[in-house]
Amino acid sequence: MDGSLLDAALQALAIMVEPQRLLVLAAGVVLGLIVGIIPGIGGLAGTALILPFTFAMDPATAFAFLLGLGSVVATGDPIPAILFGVPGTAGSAATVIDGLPMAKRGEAGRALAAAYVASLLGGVFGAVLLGVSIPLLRPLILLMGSPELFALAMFGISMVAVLSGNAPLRGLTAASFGIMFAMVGSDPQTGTLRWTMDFVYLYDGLPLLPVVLGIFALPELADLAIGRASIAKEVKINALSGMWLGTKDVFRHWWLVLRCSWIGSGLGAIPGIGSAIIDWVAYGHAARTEKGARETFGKGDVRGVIASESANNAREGGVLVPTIAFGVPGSAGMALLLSAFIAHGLIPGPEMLTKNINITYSMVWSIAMANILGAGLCFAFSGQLARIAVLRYTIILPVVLSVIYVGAFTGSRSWGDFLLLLAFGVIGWTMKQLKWPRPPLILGFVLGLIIEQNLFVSVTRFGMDWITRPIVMVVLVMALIGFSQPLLRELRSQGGLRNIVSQFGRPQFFPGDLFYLAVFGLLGAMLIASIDWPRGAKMVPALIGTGTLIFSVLSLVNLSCRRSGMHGKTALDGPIAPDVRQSRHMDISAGTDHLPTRTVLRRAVAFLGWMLGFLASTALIGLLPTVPLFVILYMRLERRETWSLVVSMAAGLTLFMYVVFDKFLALPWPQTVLGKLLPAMRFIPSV
Amino acid sequence: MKHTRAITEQRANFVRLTGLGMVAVAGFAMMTSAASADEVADFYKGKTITLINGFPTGGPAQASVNVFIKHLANHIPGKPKIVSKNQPGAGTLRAANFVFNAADKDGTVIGLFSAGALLAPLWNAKGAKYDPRTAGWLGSPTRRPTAIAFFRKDAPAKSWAEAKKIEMTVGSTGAGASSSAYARMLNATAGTKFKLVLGYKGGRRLNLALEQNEIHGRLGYSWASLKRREKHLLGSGVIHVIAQLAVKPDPELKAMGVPMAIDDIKDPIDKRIARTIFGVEEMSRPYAVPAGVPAARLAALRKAVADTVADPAYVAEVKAKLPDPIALTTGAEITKFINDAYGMPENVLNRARSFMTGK
Repeated sequence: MDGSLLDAALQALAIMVEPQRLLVLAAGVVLGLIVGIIPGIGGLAGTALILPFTFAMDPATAFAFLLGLGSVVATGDPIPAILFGVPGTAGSAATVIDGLPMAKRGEAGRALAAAYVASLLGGVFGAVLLGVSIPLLRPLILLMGSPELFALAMFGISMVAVLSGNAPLRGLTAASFGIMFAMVGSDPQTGTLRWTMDFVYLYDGLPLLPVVLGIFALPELADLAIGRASIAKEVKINALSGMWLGTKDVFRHWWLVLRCSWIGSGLGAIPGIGSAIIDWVAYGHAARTEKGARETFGKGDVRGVIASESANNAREGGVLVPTIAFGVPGSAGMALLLSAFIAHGLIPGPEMLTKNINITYSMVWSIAMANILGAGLCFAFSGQLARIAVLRYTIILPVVLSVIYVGAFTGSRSWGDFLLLLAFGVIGWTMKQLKWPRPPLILGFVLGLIIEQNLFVSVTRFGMDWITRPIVMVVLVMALIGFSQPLLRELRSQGGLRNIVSQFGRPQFFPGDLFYLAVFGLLGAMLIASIDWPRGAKMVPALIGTGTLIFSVLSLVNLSCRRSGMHGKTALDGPIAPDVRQSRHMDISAGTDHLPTRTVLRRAVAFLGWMLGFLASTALIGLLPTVPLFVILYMRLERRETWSLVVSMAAGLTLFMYVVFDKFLALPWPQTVLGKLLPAMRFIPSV
Repeated sequence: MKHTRAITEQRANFVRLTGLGMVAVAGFAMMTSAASADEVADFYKGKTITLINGFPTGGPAQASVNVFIKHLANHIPGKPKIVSKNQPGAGTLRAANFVFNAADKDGTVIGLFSAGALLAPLWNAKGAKYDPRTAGWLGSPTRRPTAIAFFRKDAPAKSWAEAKKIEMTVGSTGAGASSSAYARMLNATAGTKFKLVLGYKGGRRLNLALEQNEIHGRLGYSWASLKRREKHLLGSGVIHVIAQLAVKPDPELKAMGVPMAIDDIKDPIDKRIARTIFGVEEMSRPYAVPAGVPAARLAALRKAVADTVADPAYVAEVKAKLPDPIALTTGAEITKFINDAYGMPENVLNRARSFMTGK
């Protein structure tokens, strides 16, 4: 950094430390923490909410407010991720994988503390990287054309190999399905409506939030209801020692924090790479490079939490880069930030790095300070928050479920969001019970369209010449290594291909294998539907679909033929290859194994009944009136909670939801039967 | 400001021309409209109008919408509250389907859509399940500034004339985007040789691709936005504007000698199609109520939109906060435009559809 830049940075710091600005920053931070904790509001809606208030402020203050909020959304969201397994935003899904098992062990305090310290350091590192690389920003981004984006997305998808743990074939199947799900909607090449089944809702593709909440959040809540207990039986460590342990963990793994923050801000800085996968890339990186990670990740290894959270918070510094340097928003929240630029007469582009460098640096400082403040606040409360994990399921479930429903609804504000949430909830729960790794599905889903579109652009524009561009070659080779190494290692650890085949006996089938039938059925239906599409629309789906078919058939063959002579635990799954049963499953295991299968299924159906009942009631009388009804019924019928507790919970939650979602977010509630029949009843919100 | 002045001048002319003879008629009209205004005021008093905003929360349209409805509320008799609810999806078609089919038809629900929604059903766009001819169009407070074709100066063709001889790549978000329609139409009717590169995510990403020399140019970006946002590219001579893609020329571009693409479309049928396809985007972001809203309320809402655009307080706030050029397209003008487009004979329509959809 040369002298003039340092001057600019220091000048910006002087602007930022004025008390009034710090106060506004702090207000943004507090709001950001709140919206990060509540799934569904997220940084996007939060930023949209405060945007109008910033028009009257001076630029430095306005961006302090906006970035204060935006930077700490990822700080707040480990709370639901670790305590309930509910990712607060799509970016914290990877935190669930090791955070929730830690909470179940009674180490929620330690996990939360580690998450915050990692968040803080990650956020600050991200900001520092942004600050020192300012002169290089524009040239670097200009190097990132569509071929480079394609290569990077392939690198992201190569993480599937490590995230599949010991079930690579299932992982590949899940990832390919994720890619196919990403292709639902209007295809850019030909305008073909792929797999939309004439639902206008599906034209824009499946929204991320209902999918992520369905895949990761609902299964945890279902298992909580099935297990009929609390997340953790006891708090093993007290508040203070939890904080101390978590802090120590992070500093012991400082090198991991540093690497993952670089991943976070680096990938965040590249426009067009879904910021929702950054946590997975960092998690996958840690799983591949950390010692012994293959045995402990997914079972409550604090390094998983650290990797995901440090990358997650470093991202915010990264995504600011393309936004200020080119006006290309690095994330949805940044798109909103752009409208603030316009309101303040600022034009993203070279001017932001020359004439308006002060403002750019004030943004960098805002991000750094917000991270320190936000993580500091959360850290201070982490011991107290950890106690939530020991609450009864009848207290946690109604609240979290109601919020998740509305959270999913903010996806695209349509009935389709509810149905999608439920459908992916069923898929996610089944995958979890049958030990199919879920992370690859999300990875494929986020990257699928990015891969397809950038591939098409590259080929249309450059033919095949783009393959030889240096960055493309290096990244693709990295992707190939990242992809094949874990697979080969897994193959070796199972004794090589010959050994695996030698174990093959007569195929044996168990009820859990029915899931394969569902996989084949869905795949077949999707492939048949694509037959009539124009070439440009079906090329990638056909390719991926064929791959999925091969992976899933191989997976079934491998599974069913190696069962003879092995003894499994679960009745659903039958005996399976010992390694699948034992270790290296890169996902949370069900935690309902102690119950008989019949009980699990009965309670699962009951839970589904509650979910469907919630929807039916929403259609009849509206979402907000359903909330108290649901709370009261659930708490009374599932476990006779006292009336005083039930009523105060119902009233409190309803009021909270009304204020946040009706008053502040002005959600367009779905129309109801009651409102249609008796328009006079529409004075009730959401009817 | 220019527009307000034009309105004032028009009014002055009108008074001069009609003279005293019209005063009695005008007086009568005012009495009836006052009577219906009372009725309308009674209806809207204390009520809340829900604006179903088809654009995403906080998207580029949001700030303009917020400012507009704040002032609009003051011009509707009875001064109702207006609450904006975003219901994005399928390029505002989802909101249009909802407003025109399912929403209350008493004037308490207004929709805001993209200009593309005006003719989407005519192009047989899948998912457009409404008839824009029956809708009560209230008007559009902003007019889209002249669309342009701009290219890198180092692209193979250096001018509009050369673009008809040498192939150049133009970027677009997808096959259904208006810039793709422009490319297909101009290739078929004006003899250009544009090659579409599809699949970019959004306009800003396209401009970055242009700066990276991944595409040679773009069709359909607005002149005003180019001047504001890509000042560095224009100023340093990386890009230049080679044609105007509009029905009427922009004075500044005309002075610069930038040709009108439509002048190269000689066939009268093709010219009519071009006027529709270029013209529709100029409507920017129209407001509408569903068919069946009582006539007095529809008239009051239309008048309120026009009055808001002429309101100095609104004009001042837009000038201070937003880049939008203020120019009213009235509801009647929108309805006429839609009816004209629907009046195309089948063979013309099919040709237009092939440009729009690429099929």
